[in-house]
Amino acid sequence: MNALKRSFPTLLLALALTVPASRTAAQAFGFGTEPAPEDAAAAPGRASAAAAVTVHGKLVLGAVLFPDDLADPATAEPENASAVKLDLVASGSSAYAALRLSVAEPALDAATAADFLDRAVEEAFLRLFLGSVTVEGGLRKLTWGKADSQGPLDVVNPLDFTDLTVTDDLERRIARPLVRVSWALAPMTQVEAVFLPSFEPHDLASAGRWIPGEIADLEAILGGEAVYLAALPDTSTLDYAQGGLRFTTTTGSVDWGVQYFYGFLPMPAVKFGLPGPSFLGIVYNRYHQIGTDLAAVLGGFGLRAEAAANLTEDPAGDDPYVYNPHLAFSLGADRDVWKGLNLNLQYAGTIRLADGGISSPFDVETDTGVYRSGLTAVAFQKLLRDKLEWRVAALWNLADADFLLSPSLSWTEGDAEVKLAAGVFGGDPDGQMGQYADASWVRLTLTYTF
Amino acid sequence: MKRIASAAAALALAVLAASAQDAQAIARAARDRIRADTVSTRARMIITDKGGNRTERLVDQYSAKVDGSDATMIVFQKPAGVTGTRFLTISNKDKPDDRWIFLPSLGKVRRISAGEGSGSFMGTDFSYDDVSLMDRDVDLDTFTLAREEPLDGKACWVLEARPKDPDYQYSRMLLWIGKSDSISWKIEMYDRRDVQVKVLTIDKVQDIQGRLSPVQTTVRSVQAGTSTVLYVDILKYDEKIPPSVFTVRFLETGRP
Repeated sequence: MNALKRSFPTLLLALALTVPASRTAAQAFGFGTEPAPEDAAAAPGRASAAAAVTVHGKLVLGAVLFPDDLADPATAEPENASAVKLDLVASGSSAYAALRLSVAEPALDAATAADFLDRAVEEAFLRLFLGSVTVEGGLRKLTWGKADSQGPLDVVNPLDFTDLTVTDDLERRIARPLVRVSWALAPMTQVEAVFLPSFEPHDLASAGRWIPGEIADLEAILGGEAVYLAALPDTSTLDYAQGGLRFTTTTGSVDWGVQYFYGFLPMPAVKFGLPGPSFLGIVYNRYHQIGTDLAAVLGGFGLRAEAAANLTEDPAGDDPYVYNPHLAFSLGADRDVWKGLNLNLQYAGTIRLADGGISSPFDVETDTGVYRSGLTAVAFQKLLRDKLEWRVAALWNLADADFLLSPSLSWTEGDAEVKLAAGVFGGDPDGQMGQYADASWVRLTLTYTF
Repeated sequence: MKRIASAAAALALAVLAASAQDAQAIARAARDRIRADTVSTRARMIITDKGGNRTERLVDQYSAKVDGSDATMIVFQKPAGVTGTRFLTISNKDKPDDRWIFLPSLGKVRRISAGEGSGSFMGTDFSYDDVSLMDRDVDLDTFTLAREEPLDGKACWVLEARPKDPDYQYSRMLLWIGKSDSISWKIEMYDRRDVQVKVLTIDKVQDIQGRLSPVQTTVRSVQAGTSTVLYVDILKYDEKIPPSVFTVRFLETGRP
């Protein structure tokens, strides 16, 4: 599958370079069969439109500083947060191809061209418009569900947790090779089917400041990072194929949807057993998901809700190496309260089922809570005609009693933006976020969008 | 005496009612002045800040009647930071409009509340509500005839419009509507404290396909001292817009 990940972007790049017209102007105007007077190139609805390439991108210059590192100024060194991001889009009357690259330090550190592509390609896909059916394939980031921040229905792409200074949801998402077919049944109704020929779990750091405590402990038991990495199963085969169906529609002024997904839980299950305890391996658990979501506006509040049943292959809960089935939910609301000040709250959690079945001391869920939940609160306001924006995001993990507080301040002048952001971790030092209390950060970036 | 007072009060009420009815009719005539099955526009918005610095936005707007409702799709073209953003509004009778936005940075379609219509439209002096102000359903406001006066030599009715929705961003609006052309030449907007916050003026009209159409409109923010001039570069009436433009698929892909 890595071969596909490498070759598909190259193919798209070649396609983009061979189309006749090259332009960075605005998309064509209108939907008639005759070209608009000032714009005779590709228009969305024109039968005779010629393909055109648009190039957009961002140049980001920036650095991340970790205040705790300053305790030893001799070794303290800001991390490079600079990047060149390029979007190449070839757009014809019935096809659309996109290649999105992000060349940053991890890609520049690549030893081979293949490794470079692997790290630099954000997305690379081809989309065909066949009447009311749209078919797309390639490396893709898809967002399922209506929650504002990673609700339980958002299952298609794994997330990258190897750098917790990355706070953008889409940037944290890992593109996966997939085929997606969507069929527009009515103006606000569509059915989507997605097939992923392989699986990739959440990417967790195996070294450095962002390594989770559980993995650090496991590496200590196993004898090092290399042994741990070697123990991870190869999930790039068809044995790990995944797929799902999603139906979305609008009834009155309520958007709602239902979905089914058959895939793998993105977190590993580590197997220990007797004698010893001895390490038996790392596995990923298959599961079926049946879920529903809705979005509506009530009394000026934007409301969003998701609920899902994640049914693993341990319905009795007594298989120590398989996570129990569980329910997951997300409830969110937002509202503009005053002069564009927007408040957004999201409460999300999971409820483990068949909890009585957990008896083995080696069960992957031993000593973990039945009910886990967290609260996300975001407040932001744009001022001075959207030039100045302040934002504060807070994630509070109620189960671990830890938190992440992330304020930011940005100034936009035309196509340029200067942004100061920070992330402060705290709370239970053994918690998911509290463990990074000494990795709180401050980032300054200057971005030019073109 | 009491009878005379009652009669006077009844007469005054009748005059007020007639005035309100006339005002509603004037507003309706202004609203329905341009009859077209569809409207397609490409507009440049030039924002001038307090210091005189100028920045530009480019947006396309497609409007049509879909299943009896007014539907508008706005496609953001420039600056590069907002390219690919699309915004769909479907008006509803007697309830807030349905609004959805697709942000490339979000990767999905998101329903937003009509209350968010008070936010700045792409950093301009227009709010999302202002963009559709000329098409605002007459029944959403209560109109009264405030006075009659000339504006730049044009005889105008001055109507006061009070939104029925108390959550609407303006508590009232004053409209200068030309007696001879039914054009809303000027609109003053007042916030909930009854302080004037903006003024919209139509600076230039042009005959397009037999319809006198605004091609240059300015909105000034009174307190901020900023302004945005909207130049209509392309305006077409009755051009075919596929109904599939007003769909979730178009929001996501930009394709009908």
